[in-house]
Amino acid sequence: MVKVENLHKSFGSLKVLDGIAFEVAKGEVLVIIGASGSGKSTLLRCVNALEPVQSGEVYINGEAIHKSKGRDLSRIRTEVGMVFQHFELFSHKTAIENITLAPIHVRKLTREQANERAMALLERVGLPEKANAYPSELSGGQRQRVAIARALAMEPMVMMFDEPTSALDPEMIKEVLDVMTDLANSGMTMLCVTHEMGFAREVARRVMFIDHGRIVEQGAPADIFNNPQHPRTQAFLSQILV
Amino acid sequence: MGDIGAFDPLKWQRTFDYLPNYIQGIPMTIAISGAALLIATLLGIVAGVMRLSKRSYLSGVATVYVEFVRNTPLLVQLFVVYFGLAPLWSGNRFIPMAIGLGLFAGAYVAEIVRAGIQSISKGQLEAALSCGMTGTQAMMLVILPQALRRILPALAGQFISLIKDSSLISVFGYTELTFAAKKVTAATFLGFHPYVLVAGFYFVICYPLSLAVRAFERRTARIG
Repeated sequence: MVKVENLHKSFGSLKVLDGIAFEVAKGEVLVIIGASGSGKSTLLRCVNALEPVQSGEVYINGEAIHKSKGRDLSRIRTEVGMVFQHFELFSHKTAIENITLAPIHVRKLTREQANERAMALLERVGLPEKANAYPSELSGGQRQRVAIARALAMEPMVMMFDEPTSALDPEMIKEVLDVMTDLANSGMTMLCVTHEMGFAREVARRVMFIDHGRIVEQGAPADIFNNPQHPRTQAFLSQILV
Repeated sequence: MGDIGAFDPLKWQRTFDYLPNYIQGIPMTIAISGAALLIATLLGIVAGVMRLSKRSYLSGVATVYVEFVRNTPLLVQLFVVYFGLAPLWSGNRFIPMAIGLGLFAGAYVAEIVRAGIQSISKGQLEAALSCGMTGTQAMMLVILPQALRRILPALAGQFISLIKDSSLISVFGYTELTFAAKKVTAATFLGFHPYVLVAGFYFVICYPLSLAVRAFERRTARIG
């Protein structure tokens, strides 16, 4: 579904990704963990080509997104839903308009079809009563759930989450994680960058630890969390799992 | 100093005898400002977006336009446009004057639009792109609408300036508000009174615009 080969990326002299390679199978939930600055977010952003890569290859369902441009690039991106740390809801649009905007203009659905789909998605994330609220009228957790619905409205093959709960107050984290768990259980292919180790332990099929732009260790969550092999993984986990 | 008769009722009386001239000038001022505003808005948005283009020939053209307009006097620009374009419309003053004013204000609108676009966080663009929108769609559907709302007060200020700047075209004999005052001065030899009156008319046109923008901002505050 997603295939990354030998990915290299630098910002100036700072090497952020140093030869990353992995694959995500259909229906797999991959959780990427690592210290801040380890390159996890950049990795996600390279997967849907929000960041250009210096060398390496990224394939979405067999299509080379890293060398696509213009309409091709946009078309491949419709298959990759993205959820951002800071939600990035369109602030001039209501919740339901946020969800219908791309389906109407990109997928060319009629407004009725798009609204119908959007309402179903709002039900799914538990916010049907907020359809006509503007983002400024929603709590952080509600905004992130709308953002997830917005990404799902394009019916992507893969969903990517870039620290979706890092900007939330603690009492709102669970409502977002519940939506993500529900999504994972429905068979969605997911790439998640998160610091929520409880979520990683319970929902991930595979956990990948990244440090200094390299994959240090990966495996089933039970193995990574209970029996980390690499000293850097051990150090990271001992710091985070207090 | 005491000689102008600022409070002389007779002089005011004579000024107000020409009220119809002013009244006739109002729609002219509004029409030319409105036409220039339309040109300035379209041109300003296009040039503002071009300024931020990655293609250097687009940003280059826009930069030359903006800098040229901002670093030459409006009156000189109006002469250039008037003598350059008037022959095309065989003596019609309205079109070249509207273009001249519109070209001028458009450069300032372009800078406001550019600043507005830059004030929208990069994350909004990325969210739009990750939904599968093209760069153009992201700009038209996500970035510009937010930017335009944010810069509305600055734009309104620019449009009010445009209405005031339109007084310059009285130089070309176009019968708008200021030209009316000129005519009254010529007929009555009064200087002070006709121009005070015309200032009052400009205020009456411009001030409600400021109020309307404030009302719009209050009404849309919940969008945040």
